[in-house]
Formats: sequence, C-alpha cells, structure tokens
Amino acid sequence: MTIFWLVIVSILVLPILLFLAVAFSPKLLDQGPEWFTFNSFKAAADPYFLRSIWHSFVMGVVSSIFATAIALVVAWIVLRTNSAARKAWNLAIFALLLAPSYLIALGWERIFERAGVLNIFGIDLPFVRDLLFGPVGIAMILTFKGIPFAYLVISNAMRGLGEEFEQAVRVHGGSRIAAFKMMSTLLLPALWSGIAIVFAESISDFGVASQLSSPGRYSVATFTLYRSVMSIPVSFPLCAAISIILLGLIVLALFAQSRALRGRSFRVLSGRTRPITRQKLSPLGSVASNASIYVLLILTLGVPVFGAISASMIQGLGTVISNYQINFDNYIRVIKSPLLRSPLLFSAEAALMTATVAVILAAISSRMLVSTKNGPGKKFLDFFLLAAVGLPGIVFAIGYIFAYNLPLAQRYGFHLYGTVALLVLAYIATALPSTTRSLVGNMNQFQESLSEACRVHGSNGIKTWLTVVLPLISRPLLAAWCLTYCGTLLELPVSQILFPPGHAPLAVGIDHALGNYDFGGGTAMEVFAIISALIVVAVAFALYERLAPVGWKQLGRAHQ
Amino acid sequence: MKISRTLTLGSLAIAMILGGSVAPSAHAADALQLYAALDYSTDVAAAFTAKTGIAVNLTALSTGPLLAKITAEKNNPQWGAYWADGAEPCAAFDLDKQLLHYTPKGAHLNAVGQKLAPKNGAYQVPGFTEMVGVVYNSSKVRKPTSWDDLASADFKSQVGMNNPSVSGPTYPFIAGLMEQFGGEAAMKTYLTKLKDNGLRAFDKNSKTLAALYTGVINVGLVQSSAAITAVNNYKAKPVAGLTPEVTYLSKTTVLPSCLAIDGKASAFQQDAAKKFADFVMTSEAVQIMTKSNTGDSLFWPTLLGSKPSIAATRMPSFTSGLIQVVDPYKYAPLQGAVQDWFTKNIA
Repeated sequence: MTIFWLVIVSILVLPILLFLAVAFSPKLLDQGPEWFTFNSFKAAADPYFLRSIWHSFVMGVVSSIFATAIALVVAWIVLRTNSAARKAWNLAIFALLLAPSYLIALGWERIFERAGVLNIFGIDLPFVRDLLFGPVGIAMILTFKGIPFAYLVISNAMRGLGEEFEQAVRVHGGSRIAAFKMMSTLLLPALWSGIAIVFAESISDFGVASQLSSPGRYSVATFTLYRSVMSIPVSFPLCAAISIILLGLIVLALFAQSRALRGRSFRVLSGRTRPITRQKLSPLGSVASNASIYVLLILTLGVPVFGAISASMIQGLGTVISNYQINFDNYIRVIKSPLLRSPLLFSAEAALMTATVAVILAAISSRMLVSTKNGPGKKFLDFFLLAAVGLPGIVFAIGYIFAYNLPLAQRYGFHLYGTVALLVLAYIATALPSTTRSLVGNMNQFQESLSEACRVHGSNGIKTWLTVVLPLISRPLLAAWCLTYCGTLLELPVSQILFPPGHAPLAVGIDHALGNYDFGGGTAMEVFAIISALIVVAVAFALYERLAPVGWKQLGRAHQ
Repeated sequence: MKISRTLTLGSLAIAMILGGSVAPSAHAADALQLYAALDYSTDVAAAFTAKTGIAVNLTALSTGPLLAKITAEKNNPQWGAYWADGAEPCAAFDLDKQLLHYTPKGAHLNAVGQKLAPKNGAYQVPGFTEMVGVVYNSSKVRKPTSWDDLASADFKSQVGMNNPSVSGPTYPFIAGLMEQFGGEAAMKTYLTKLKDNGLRAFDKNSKTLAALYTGVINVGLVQSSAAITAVNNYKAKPVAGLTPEVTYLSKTTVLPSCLAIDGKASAFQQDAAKKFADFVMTSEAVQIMTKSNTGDSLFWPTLLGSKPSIAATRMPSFTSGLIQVVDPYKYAPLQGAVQDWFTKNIA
C-alpha cells in the first residue's frame, strides 16, 4: 500500500495542500511578503465573496437532491421495466455526460435570450428569461448536468441488486411503492454517492456559472474564483482562502453521507444474485414512463444540441429575422484544417491513458473507501478525493505548478513541469475522485465472503481479483472508463495551465478558435470531438459485449 | 495488498511510459521559452528559429491564463520572454523588479514608438492597437458620437464591453477613461451611468462580439483590431440585418503590444530572449506580424519605415488628435482595486 499512498500524495494531496497553504503563508511560494497571515481570509470575508459561496452551497444542495431523485426514477424505469424509452436513454447517457455544462446553458440561453429563438418567432418571455439568468436557471442546468453522474452510480448499484428483495416485499403484501422504497433503502450508499458527486460537481462547475452567473445577477463561488485566478493582477492567497471555505462545504457533504450510512450494511451482491424480470407496465404507465424519459432527453440533450447547432451552423441567428443561413461550411473547414486533427489525436491519446490508469486507481480507492476498517487512511482518502472534485480545475492546475515547479525538486533533476507526463498525471488526479465515487456504490454491495472463500480455497490475491471481483465489477469499470475518457477529452482548465508547448489539447484549440472570433469553427470542433468520443464509447461497449466472458455480462441482466 | 501494489505500479508505469513517449523537450536548455498572447507569435517564432537557429517553445494562451502561469511560477520562473497587448502588466512586473532591462540593437523607433517605449528598457513596443473601437450594428442603431452619447436613451440596453478583470486589453481603456475624465471617481461615475443605461459586461473581445452577432447588444466596445475584424468578416459574408461598422470616440487610448524579458531566467534564456527582442524590432518581423491582415495583425508599427496592414489604417493615426497615451506606471498599481470595483459594480 505504500506505493499507492505515495501516488495519492504525489498527484492529489501535495498539489491541493500547497495551493491551500498559500492562504496562510503567501511567502512560502513567493506569492506575498508574509510567512503567516490571515489577511487573505479577511479579503475572502467580503460580503461579495461570502454571498457567492452561500449561493454555491444552495445550488449544490438543490441540484444534487433533484438530480439524484430523477436519476433513481430513470434507473428504475430503464432497468426494471419494459418501457420502450429505455433504449433511447441507454444510447443518450454518454452524450449527456459529454455535453459540456456551458453548452447546455448556451442552448437555453439561445432560446430565451433577447433576440433569441423565441423572439425570432415573436414570443417574448422576460419573466422566464429573468428566471433563467438567476438561481432557478443555474439550479435547473446543474441538475440536468448532474443526472447522468447520479444515474451511472445508481444504475450500477441497481444492477447488482437482484429482485429478490422487492419480491419479498410483494410476497408479504407490500405495494409497488413499498417495494420501491425497499429498493431505495438498499441503494442508499449509491444514492449518497450520487448526491456527494453531484454536490461536488455542482459547486465546482464553471460552465454554467460562466454563462448564467454574474455579480449583478446571481454570482456563485466558481465564478468568483475563476475571476480571481484570471484577474490581472492575480491574488492566489485570496483564491486559496475562498477554496478553503469551499472545502468546508465539502466536509459538510461528507459528514451528511457518513452519518446516513453509519452502522448499516448494504452488501447485497453475492453469488446468489439472479437476473431480474422486467415489470410489464400498464398502457398508462407505459405512456407516462416513455413521455417522462423523452421529455427529460429533450431538456437535457436536445437543448444543448440546439446550442451547438445554432452556434456552428446558423450564421447570424438572433440578429436576423428571416434570412439566416444554415450550412456545413464550418465543419468542412475544420475537417480540412490540421489545427483540429493534432489536438484531437493528442487529447484522445491523453484521455485513453488517463481513463485506463484512473480506473485502476479508482478500483483500489473505492475498495478502500468501502472497507469495514474505519481507519484514518480511509477518512484521509475520502476527504481528498471529494476535495479534488469540489475544487475547480483551475485551482488544481495552479496547485500542480506550485508542487512540480519547486526549485528544490528541479535542482535534483526532477523536471516534470511542462511535460505531457505531468499533464496526464493531473488529468488522472482530476478524474480519480469522480471515477472512484462512481464505483463506490458497486463496491459497497460486494460481499467480502466471496473473496474470502476464494482465498480459503488456495487462490492468491491477483487470481481472486481476476476471477471473483473483476467479473462482478467489469461493467461498472467499463462505464467508469468511458466516463473518464469523455470527461478528459474536453477538459479545459488543467489543459490550459499545464499543456506543454507544442502539444495543445483539444479544449485549448477550441478555446483558441473561439478567442479568435471563429465561433462557428470552434463549436464545430467541439461537435466533432463529441462525435469521436461517442464512437469510442460505442466501440468499447461493443468489444465488451463481444469479448467479455458470458459470466461477466450476467450481472444486472434482466429476463425479457 | 500485493494486488494494490501491482495495480498501482502497473498503472503508473503505463502513464509515465505513454506520457513520456510524447513528452516534448519543454524545458530543454536550448530553446527559448516564449509566453505569448498574440496570433502572429507562432509565425514570428518560426521565422526567428529559421534565422538564428534558436528553437522556441511557444506557450500560446490569452493574457489572463498567461499571467496566472507567470504568477504561479514566481518562485521558479520558466519563461524567457512574455509578449502580449497591454503595458500595465509589464509595468507591474517591472515595479516588482522581475524584468531584465534591454534596448534592442538596431531598432529605429518612430515618434510614437519613442513615446511608448519605457526609457529604462523594461519592455519593447513593436506596435500598438487602440482601445476602444466602437463596433455598432448600423442596421439597428445609429452611429454613436461621443462617450456621453453612449449613455443616452438612444443606446439604452444596447451597449456591451469587456470585463477588465478578464480581458487583458480592457484595463488600458479604463485607465484612458480616468486620464481623460480627470480621475478614478469621474471614471466610476461615467461607467455607473452606462450601467444604469443597461451596459452589459462580457469576458473579452470574442464574447462581446458574439453578443453583437446574436443581437444581445448592438454596440460593442472592443479592441480596435477585433472591431475591424468583425466588420471585415461580415463584409466577406454579408448577413441581412447585421451591418457592423466601427467608429472611434475622442479620446481613444493607445494599447501597446509589449515584449518583456524575465530578469530571473537563466543566462541562456535571457540571451535568447534578447536576440528574439532584436528580431521582433525589425521590419522583417513586422512584415510577418502584419501579413494576415486580420485580428492581432491590425496594428500600427512603431518602427521607422514599417507599414501597417491595409485594414489597420482604418484606425485613427497618432497624428489624428483622437488618441491618447496613458502612463502604465501610473495606472498599473491601481489595476487590482479598479478591476475589483468593476467586477462588483458593473459586471
């Protein structure tokens, strides 16, 4: 375990701690004259900053609860019923994960903004517009963005939960609602994981904040933090102080999670877990379930797709009443340009490495998080994994400069800063928390007796993992791999600060195109990237279906 | 726990081997580390390498992320030269004693160049754009005629500008308002009046122009090069209902492009950066910079005999009486407080 901890400390703990230390000791990294001070906290206590932190907390709570509740219902419809819409959802889930939050916000903005789509058709809804550019709009889009994260966690856990528990309720006279309640209770670890992930993702999200937040309307902490990091001149001690307050919110989320799960066992995944039988919905139930899935898909996926299309294909939308043009010029230009190909290939390669390594480390981390031993190591890992989700990417990237650009390290020939290797390590560290959380629900269901039985019969640790653990978590591992690949491909903040000269990642290339007033070209590059990622996900699942042993694919399978 | 060790080591090995397989010589001792926020820096760097044989590792980003990187690297700077629009960050670096003072060999500056270049050689100024070009959609609004006109009822909820906290070139515009209105308080009064008249603040040039294209605003206060590019783009591909035009209000503030050398860099970096500064301050380099006739290339050169690109001549010249120069050393120390005020009260 020493090596594992060394890795965690190097890629996760050290950059975070060094960044946060600047709040107390700016002189430590040449960011100010004081060795020890609380001045940055005085600046952070400004009502403007405190208000934005409070707003973030409220947005995090609201979006995590709504996203998890919606994801639970969707998971039930998709995995436990014969609803026809379930296939559409399965196809759409990775597109949903891939849609950058700012694109979702942009789509909504395009519809309701002044001179937007509704205005073009003569409809003006200033009341709805005011709601959108405020807490309601931010919470709604953060909820939409959070649903796929919560869904992946909950659905993986639901697959491991056979239907025998629900049948037991029904056999003893319980209603369908009572059976649903029983299932929800057994899924509590996954539900809390979902809430924790969505909460942390929401309070660290910048895409929505950049589109819909502003100090004059409704500022959130990431908006304030990004503005502070990108301000000229930048004050890292102030940013660190705001980050520490933000971390306080994460501690609250962790505390709530641990209180809710303390002293209970949720280990339901065993050798006796059987395929479930899908519930046949009544005609009314069928219509209702289909309608809710399709409405959800239109809201979460249709609107950002419209945002992307309107930006990349429609010239002059919003300015023109009747004469706008739709064409593929931007896509053709991007295909011909070498400026797209090399960033896309570079980012695909980096995402491939990141996903592979992050999934392996996440499997170990999640196993440790669900371990029955409640030692300090587990709490330490838990805190830093969630802290890394809660801290915006740009803060993490600056922490990497602080940690890997130390004169002392370079004096001893440790030159990682400015290399692809460091960029990939930073990607892994950024991906590790959410990848780990996405596996915690499954690991929590895993009964130790399975491994123990294997070991008692003479199997060594590696063989036990390969023959007992891996088959049971193979599909969640694949989902986590796809999640990480998609998330890394379009990652911007870490890429922007840490990319090595001459190796611009995709998001930096897109940002460059947008910054050079090539809005159509930049968005077309984004659409290409999303399509390429969907192809990778489709290939990964196709290979799994074709190559994985039959037994691996049994878990969560339903009788038709 | 053997399994954890094996998996961890294996995964790290994958990351390091694959990561290392495409690792560039980012910190090779034989390459100039250039941090630049200008479109033409890639072409200029390539020409410099072809001429001198000195390799250049170019980190091309916008001003905000570049300055964040430089500040984060402060205890162990990795850059040799920094090149971007706006003199105030360079003045702030100089006041913090971070820069190497240098006067390029053989650079013959015109009258404007001599006025813009600091006497102590803290940074070089090969050219300048202007803040702000007022780009307006003439299909929707009339031409604004003065700063006060922008605050009139005709332009209610029509005007947008960049946020100086995020957009590098915008603080010099704010400094210019302080200069001509007679101080910080007068500038704040004016911007508050604009805000009361519905002023919208966007991150940077591209975002403000995007708002103009989509009709969210009909007047954008952006860098002159961005304003001219917007007009040219729409002339090349006209769209009914959107007819951007550019005008300049008195006074418009000069925005110098500045090249600075890191005072803490290694001897090799400093030597290479000096040679790069020598190259940048030649008419050969200016020709490369102005070649594309779009975006950042639309500037007035400060070298004797160097000509701007054709489109750039639409900006008021130094002798027009419309433009003013502000002292970056006077306004750099105010930057943090003024931007903080802007973010909290105007953005």
